[in-house]
Amino acid sequence: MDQPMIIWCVIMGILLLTFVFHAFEKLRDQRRHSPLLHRRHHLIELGKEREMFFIPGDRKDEEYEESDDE
Amino acid sequence: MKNPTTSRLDFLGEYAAWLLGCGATCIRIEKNINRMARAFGVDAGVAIMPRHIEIYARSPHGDLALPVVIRQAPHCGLNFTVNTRLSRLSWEVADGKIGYDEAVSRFAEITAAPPTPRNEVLLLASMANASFCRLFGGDLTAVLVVFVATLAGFKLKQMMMADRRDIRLVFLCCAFFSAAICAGAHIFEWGSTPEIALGTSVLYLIPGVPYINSVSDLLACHYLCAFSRFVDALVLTACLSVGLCAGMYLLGLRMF
Amino acid sequence: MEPTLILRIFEDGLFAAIASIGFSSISNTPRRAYLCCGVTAAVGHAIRFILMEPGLAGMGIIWASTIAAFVIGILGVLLAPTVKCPAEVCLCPALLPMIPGMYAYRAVAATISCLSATDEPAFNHYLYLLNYNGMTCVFVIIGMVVAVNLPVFMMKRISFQATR
Repeated sequence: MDQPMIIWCVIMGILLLTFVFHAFEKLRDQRRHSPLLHRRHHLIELGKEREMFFIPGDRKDEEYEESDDE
Repeated sequence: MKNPTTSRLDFLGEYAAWLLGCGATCIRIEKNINRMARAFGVDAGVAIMPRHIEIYARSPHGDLALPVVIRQAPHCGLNFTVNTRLSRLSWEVADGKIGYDEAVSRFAEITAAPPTPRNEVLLLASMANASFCRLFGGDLTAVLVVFVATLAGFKLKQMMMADRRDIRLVFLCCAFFSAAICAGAHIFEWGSTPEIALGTSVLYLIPGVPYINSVSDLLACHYLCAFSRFVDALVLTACLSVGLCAGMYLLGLRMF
Repeated sequence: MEPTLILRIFEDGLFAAIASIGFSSISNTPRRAYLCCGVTAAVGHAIRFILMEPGLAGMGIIWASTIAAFVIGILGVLLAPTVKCPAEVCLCPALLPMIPGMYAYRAVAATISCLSATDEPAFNHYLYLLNYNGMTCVFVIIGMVVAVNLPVFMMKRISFQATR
């Protein structure tokens, strides 16, 4: 097997793992009674403006989210 | 207690913001707003910004200072169903079939309606891209490979959008994986037209409707909106091209 | 016309219809408009195929798309009131199979190649590819949308009152 074939198989493996992992996460979320209490934590995520400009003493409620944050 | 004209202006603002958010052209927004304002007996106009709507009005006798309503377009994504139903609502109001209160409840109903089921869209989009491959002259193997690549890529897109990921990142990742799957046809020599499979693999991501809307706005002299929609579409196209090129580079294929 | 050519034209229309319905479902088109979109897209794409076929009209992609879009515009405006949708709901999906997507991403890919070119001939070649693909893409879209909007404005009474 030459190099591109190996890389192709690795990429497919990553994609399959993503799908399996996502399905597993979804299943786990369904089992929990209130998904809102347990906000899912991603391994890598893009930060929000609010976290960057946070100053101790600011409101910290979890429901508060900027509307421009997609 | 709100002035009745003010609450009507508020409603018009919400309505126009939704129209803008669901991808209606500027000329439609203007026409629908003018039609409804006339029915409400308000002398109103609308200014359309790339992501915001401003509604301004003059009171009939010029004796009342009316506020300018500014609303941000919701992030509801392109939605022709909402566009259709909102347009029909404007005609019902204009023809006097329903009054203001009824219009408000109808509006709430329309904006709360669920979108097309995800699996239906997934299947239809995959079939669409596969038939695209056939249009470009791909053989049966290429069509099948493109179908699978679109199925996987579009599923990934739905998952990432549901996780509220950045849309540019979503396009990049989806294009990368779709292209990588189709590159398999080159590497393992499936079928006789692997280059067509690879070329068609990412076409389901091309933002066609924003491109069309952009030129429609250009023709209606809404240059600001036209430019903003064009740049939006261009950024997404650039992201998907980068994903495609990255996939091809990793697998040792060249585009030109 | 030989039978294989007729078959190819028919095939072109059929696949364009499937593509149009599929891509329009991404933008939440109402289900009752699917058939209308499919028929308009099929007729439009088949006309473009005939216009671009070397043995028949042999036109370039820009003019062929423009003429096909004009026909799509007429059909869309006439069909829109029957499904009670605004004209653009029928027209946009029908135009989607003709959007020059390949030209669009090839232009961006040519830019990337341009940046990584090491010598002048290669750079010039990629710059040529960028201009060729980019200009074709832009002018096809402009031609299509201008042509599709002509019938909308020519038959204003029908097109803006379709949902009435």
